[in-house]
Amino acid sequence: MSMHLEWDRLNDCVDGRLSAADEADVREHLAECRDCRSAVDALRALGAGTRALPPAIEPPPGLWQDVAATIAAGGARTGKPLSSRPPDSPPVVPVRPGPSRRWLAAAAVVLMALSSGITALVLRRDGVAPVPVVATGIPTVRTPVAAGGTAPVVPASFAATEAAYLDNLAELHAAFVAQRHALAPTTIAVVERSLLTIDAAIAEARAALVADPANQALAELLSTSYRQKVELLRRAAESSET
Amino acid sequence: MTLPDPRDADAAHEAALVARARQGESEAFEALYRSTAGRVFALCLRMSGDRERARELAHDVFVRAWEKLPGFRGEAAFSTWLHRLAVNVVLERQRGERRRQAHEEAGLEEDDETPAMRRVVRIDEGDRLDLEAAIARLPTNARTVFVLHEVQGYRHDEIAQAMAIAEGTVRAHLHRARRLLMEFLSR
Amino acid sequence: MTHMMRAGATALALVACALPVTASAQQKVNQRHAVAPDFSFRVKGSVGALRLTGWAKDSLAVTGALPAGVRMEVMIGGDGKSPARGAKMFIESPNDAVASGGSIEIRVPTRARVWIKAGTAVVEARDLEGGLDISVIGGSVTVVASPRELQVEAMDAGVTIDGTPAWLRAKTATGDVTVRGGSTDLALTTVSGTLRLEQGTVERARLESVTGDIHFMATPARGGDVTIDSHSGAIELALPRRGDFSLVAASITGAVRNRYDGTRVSPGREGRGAELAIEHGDSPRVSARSFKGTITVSVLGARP
Repeated sequence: MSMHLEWDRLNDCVDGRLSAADEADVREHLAECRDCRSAVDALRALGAGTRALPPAIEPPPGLWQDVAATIAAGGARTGKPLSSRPPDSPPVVPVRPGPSRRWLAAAAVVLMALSSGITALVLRRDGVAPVPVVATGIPTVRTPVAAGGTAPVVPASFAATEAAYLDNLAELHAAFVAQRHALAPTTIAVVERSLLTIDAAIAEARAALVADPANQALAELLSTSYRQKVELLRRAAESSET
Repeated sequence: MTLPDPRDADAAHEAALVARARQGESEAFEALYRSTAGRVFALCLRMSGDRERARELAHDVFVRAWEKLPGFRGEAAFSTWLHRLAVNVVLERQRGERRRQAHEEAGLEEDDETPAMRRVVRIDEGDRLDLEAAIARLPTNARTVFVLHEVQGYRHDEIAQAMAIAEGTVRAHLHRARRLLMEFLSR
Repeated sequence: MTHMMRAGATALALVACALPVTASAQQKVNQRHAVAPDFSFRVKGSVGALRLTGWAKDSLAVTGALPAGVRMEVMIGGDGKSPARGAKMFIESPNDAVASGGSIEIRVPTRARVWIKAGTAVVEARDLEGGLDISVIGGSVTVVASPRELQVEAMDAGVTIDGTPAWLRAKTATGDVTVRGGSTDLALTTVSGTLRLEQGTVERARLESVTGDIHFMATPARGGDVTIDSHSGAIELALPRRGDFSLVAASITGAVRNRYDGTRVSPGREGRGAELAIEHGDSPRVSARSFKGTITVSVLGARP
């Protein structure tokens, strides 16, 4: 042959996919054609280089925590697939790394059940009724009541709003706790200091609203403080993805 | 005296972890994760060409592995089973994205998160690419076939089945991938 | 982010930024690509300083220097034949200390939309008219621009904005926020930083803090709505001498001081706190409330 081998034939030669007759023809050509020999050598070198690539690459930080959170959100394995989709069907919604709202609800429940030092109820204890604190693990201002008195409750008009905030905060705090390992200590310090500030403000405003339940401006200020806390925890959880 | 093959001890240890993980023990699954995550991530990264996507894919692989572990009977090594599962996850996602891309191209929806690769824009003339970067620059199908064949050791017929394409198409993609890689690496 | 319009990039390809690690322990960065005028660019990573500038060219230029050990990837969208509609850039550092040695300069078309997410970084952005979304933890953010949409989120980084973004959201935990220039729709939020809104006209504005002080020294536009809330932070509110507005200022348990005119400050509910109402027409509406902070109302531009 006076012409060079086609690219496909060179590749087939390297991959051992030629018939015996073709292989003999190719060998004969390679014996005489330096360019084609170089091409085959280059293909072989490419293959060798590829096989020499590191078999493992360190995953980004936090991947296991995301996997664990997703698995926890799925609940205990029952031996059945977590979804009702056929096992080999493509995912309906690609699961994104990092906490999303849908997972957080279940993940928070699991984490809250496991974590100590978290209270999400208004308890009555020795005349001191703690205000609802949501999973900060940080002592908050307690509202003293007279012994034998009833625990302070916010007006009914605000109760539903507060309950919604508390649910939201439980989820977000669980996400923050789950992501703490990925945050710098200085960031954690800023967030926790700010949470203390907001919790103190919530406690004060809440106590005042309990004492003056018809004060709409107070209700709105308390709502603003809850909203601030929600925002802060959301940003804290997201900042670990940097 | 024949010394025990360390690989046998590893295999036994892995089998024990798998047995515990199948019972729902998350610590055992975490240990399996730790021993396999690097390889899984490498596969996802090389097949997707994008670190963020690879992270998402690796996450999906391990979640799927947890879900499917009860069905793993130990016919193959756990890592082999896991790698096949990983390939399936990546290919499924690629198929899903191709469908979404078709919608986008029809003008039904715009999504700026579409990660699928098409052609590449060249970087500065003087830059030499290393092989990993060159593989990542390949068009999607060429890259997929190249990684499965050259890195994962799949045969043409296995790739054809996994990607639901003809063997001749697998061959064409592989040859094209090699040609492009040589061009990238020779600059 | 939800307010940002969706970008048009529909495909991304990896353009490897080959950064040979040299003995000098600094890697030079120099990338240029043709991009569309409304190009979208997402930047994520650890770098000490990041400067973003809009320019009249339809191209993306990334230059700078990164320390050894820092990894950078740039991914460009498109088919290579036409200018790219979108791109992404990642910078990974083993830790903040290494990252702090890096400095990157980015130039994009003026109408580009840019998202930046960094850890502790000094971020500067200039001459942008499209959209800008910056999220950092520490460091500082300075924006001298009037993008259509501007969102800045920080933890303890200080934020300074000189311009008139039509839509502006700035949130910090402890960092101060200073905005010089007006906006159509603005919200500044902090826990304990200081909020300052100086100059310009605002149509819809919300300023909130917990313990941080708030200084409002801008002009509410006709038909506008300004709401200022704090828990204990002091509120300083300076309003134009002339023009219409309807003001209600109330501190639940703290004080209200009127240095604007002779309207009397009255006690609040049940004799606690204080309230002040000044009516110069029914619009724009201005509301300043605090749980226990002191609210001071004065004339804009008057000497204290």
